[in-house]
Amino acid sequence: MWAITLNPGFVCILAALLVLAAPQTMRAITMAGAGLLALLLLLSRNFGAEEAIAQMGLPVVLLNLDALNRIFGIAALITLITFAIFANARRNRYEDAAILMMAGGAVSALFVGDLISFVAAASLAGLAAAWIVFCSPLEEARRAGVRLLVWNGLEGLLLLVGVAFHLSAGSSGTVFARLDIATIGGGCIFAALMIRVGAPFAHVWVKDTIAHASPLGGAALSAFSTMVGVYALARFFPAEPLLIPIGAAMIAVGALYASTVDDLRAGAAYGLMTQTGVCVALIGVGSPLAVAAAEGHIFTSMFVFMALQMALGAVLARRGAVRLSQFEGLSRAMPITTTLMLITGLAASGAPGFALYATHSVALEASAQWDLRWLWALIAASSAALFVSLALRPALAAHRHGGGKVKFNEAPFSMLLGAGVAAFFCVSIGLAPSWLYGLMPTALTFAPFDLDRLAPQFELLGAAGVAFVLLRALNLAPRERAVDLLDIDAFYRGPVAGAARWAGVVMLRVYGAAGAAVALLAARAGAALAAWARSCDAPYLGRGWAALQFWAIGALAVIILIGARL
Amino acid sequence: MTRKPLPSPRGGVAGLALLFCATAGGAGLAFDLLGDAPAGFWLLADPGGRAMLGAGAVTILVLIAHGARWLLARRAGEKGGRDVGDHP
Repeated sequence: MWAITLNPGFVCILAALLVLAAPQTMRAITMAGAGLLALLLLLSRNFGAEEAIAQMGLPVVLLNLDALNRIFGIAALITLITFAIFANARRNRYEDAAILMMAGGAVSALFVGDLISFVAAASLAGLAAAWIVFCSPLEEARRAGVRLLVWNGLEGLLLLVGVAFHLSAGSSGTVFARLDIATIGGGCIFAALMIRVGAPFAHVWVKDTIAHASPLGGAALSAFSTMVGVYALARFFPAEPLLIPIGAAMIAVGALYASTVDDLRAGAAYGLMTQTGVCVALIGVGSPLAVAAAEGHIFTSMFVFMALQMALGAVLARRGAVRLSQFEGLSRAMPITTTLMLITGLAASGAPGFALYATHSVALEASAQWDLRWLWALIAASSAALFVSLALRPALAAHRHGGGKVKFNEAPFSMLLGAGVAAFFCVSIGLAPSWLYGLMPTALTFAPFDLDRLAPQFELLGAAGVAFVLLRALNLAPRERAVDLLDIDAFYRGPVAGAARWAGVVMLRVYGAAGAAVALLAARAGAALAAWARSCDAPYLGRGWAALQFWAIGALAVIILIGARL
Repeated sequence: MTRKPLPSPRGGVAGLALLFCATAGGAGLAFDLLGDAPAGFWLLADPGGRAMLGAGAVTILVLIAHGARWLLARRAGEKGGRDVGDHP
C-alpha cells in the first residue's frame, strides 16, 4: 500500500532541478518519468485532504484530492508525458526545466488545499511560463517574456492582496471555500483569475506568449497556462453570474481573431481562448451538468490545443514561421505534418469523432435553456468559426502551390511522433469518451453519438464549410495576406505608452522647474536670514540704539513690576 | 516540336473541400430533418437550425474579418507602438 502523500506537482518541480544537470539523453526520460511517477501518486491516493500544517498561524494543506482536481491533474500529467516525446527533437535543457517547473507549479496549484499555497504554486507556474518564453529562439521572444512577467506580476499582486483582505475580513482560515466576488478579497482574487484565463482586455498575453514561444514551448503554454485559472474559477466561483458574459465575450473575441489572423499559432491561441471562454461561461451557469461540462471541456481542450501547437511547431521548426500567407507548397514539402495539422484542426473545431466533440455536446446540453439561448448559439457557432479558422483555411492554404519545384523537408521524427501521439489522444478520447465522463465529478451518462446530437453537428460544420468555400470562390472572403491584426495590446503599447512617456517628460520638467524655484527661494531666504543674523551679531552698532534699548528694557521691567503688584 | 507543360491545377483542393463539406452537411441535414428528433427549445435548435447557424456564423465572421482587416491590419513584422522592453 502506498504511504507516500506527496503532492504530485512536487515531483515535477524536483525533476526540473534534475533536468538542469542531466545530459541530453536523460532529459526526455526524466520528463516522462516525472510525469508517470506523479500520475501514479495521483491515481494511488483516495480522495481527501492531508492534515493541515500550521505556518504563522495559518493552515497550510499541501495535498487535497477530490473529483474536481483529479480530472485536471490527469490531463496535465498525460500531456507532460507527451511533451517528453516531442522534446527529444531538440537540445535545450533550460526549456525542458522550465516546462517541468511550469507543469509542477500548475499541478501543485491543483492539489494544494489552501489559498496561500495556491498563490505560491500558481505564481511559480507563471514565472516558469515566462522562463519558457525567454528560452525561445524566436525574435521578439525576450520582449514577449517581459510582457508576460508584467501580467504575472499583476496577477500575483492581486492574488496576494485578495488573500490578505480575505483573511482580514475575518475568514477563519485560508482553506478552500467558495469566495464572494462582492468582497474586496474575493474581487481581487477574481480579477487575478480573469488575467489567468485570458478574459477580454487581459487576453493578449495568451496569444503573445504562445506565438513567440518555441514549438514545444507554445504547446506547453497552451496546455498549462489557462487550465489553472479555469480550475480555480470552478473551485472558488462556481455559479457566479458575471462569468457568463465574460465567457461569452471570450468566445466571440477568440473566434473573430482566430478567423482573421495570418499567424496560425496566434490563431490557435485565440482558438484556445474561445474554448476557455466556453468553460468560463459554463462555470458561470453553475448547474452540476454545466460545471462537469466545463471540466471535461478544458480536459479535451488541453489535449487538442497541445496537439495542434505541436503540429504547427513542426512547421515552425522547418520554415521559421507559421503564416497562412506562406503556406504555399506545404502539403508537398511536409505531408505528414500537414495531415497532423488538419486532423488536429478538425479536433479543435469539435468535429465528431474527436475529443472536443465529446465535451462540446455536453456543453450544448448544459446551456440548452430558454434564458441562455444566446449562449447556446454562441457555443454552437464557435465550432463553425474554429472549423473555418483552424481546419479549412490551413487546408486550403497548405495545398496551394505556385507551380515551382517543392523540396521535401519533413519535420524531425521526434516532433512527428510527439504530435502523432497527441493526435492519437484526440481521436481516442473522441471515439471512446465514456472513461472521460466517468472521471467527471458529476455522474454523467451521456451518449454523444446519438443521431440527435451527431447529425446537427455535421450539419453545422458542413454548412459552415460550404458557405466559406463559396464565399472564397466568389472572392468575398478575405485572402491570406501577410498582415498582423492589432489587438488591445496595441492600445496600451501604443497610445497609452506614448501618453505615459509624454506625461513622464512633462512631470520631469515640472519637477525640474519646481526644484529650481525652490532652490531660488531658498537662496533668497538664506541670504535674508544671513543678513538678519549678521545684524543680530552686532546689535549696538548705532549710538542712539543703545540708549533706546536701555530705556525700552527699563520700561518693560517697570511694567512687569507694576503688573505683579496689581 | 516541344509542348509547353500544362500549368499545375489550382483550386482542386477547394473543390474537394466543398464536396466534403456539402456531403457532411447534406447528410447531417437529412438525418436531422428526417429523424424523429423532438423539436428544439428554440428556433436554432430545431431540425435544420444548425445549418442556418453555421452558414450565418461564417458569413458574419467573413464580414467582420473584412472590417477588422480594414481597421486593424498592419504589415507583418511592422513595429507598432512602444514596448515594455523599450527604454529611452
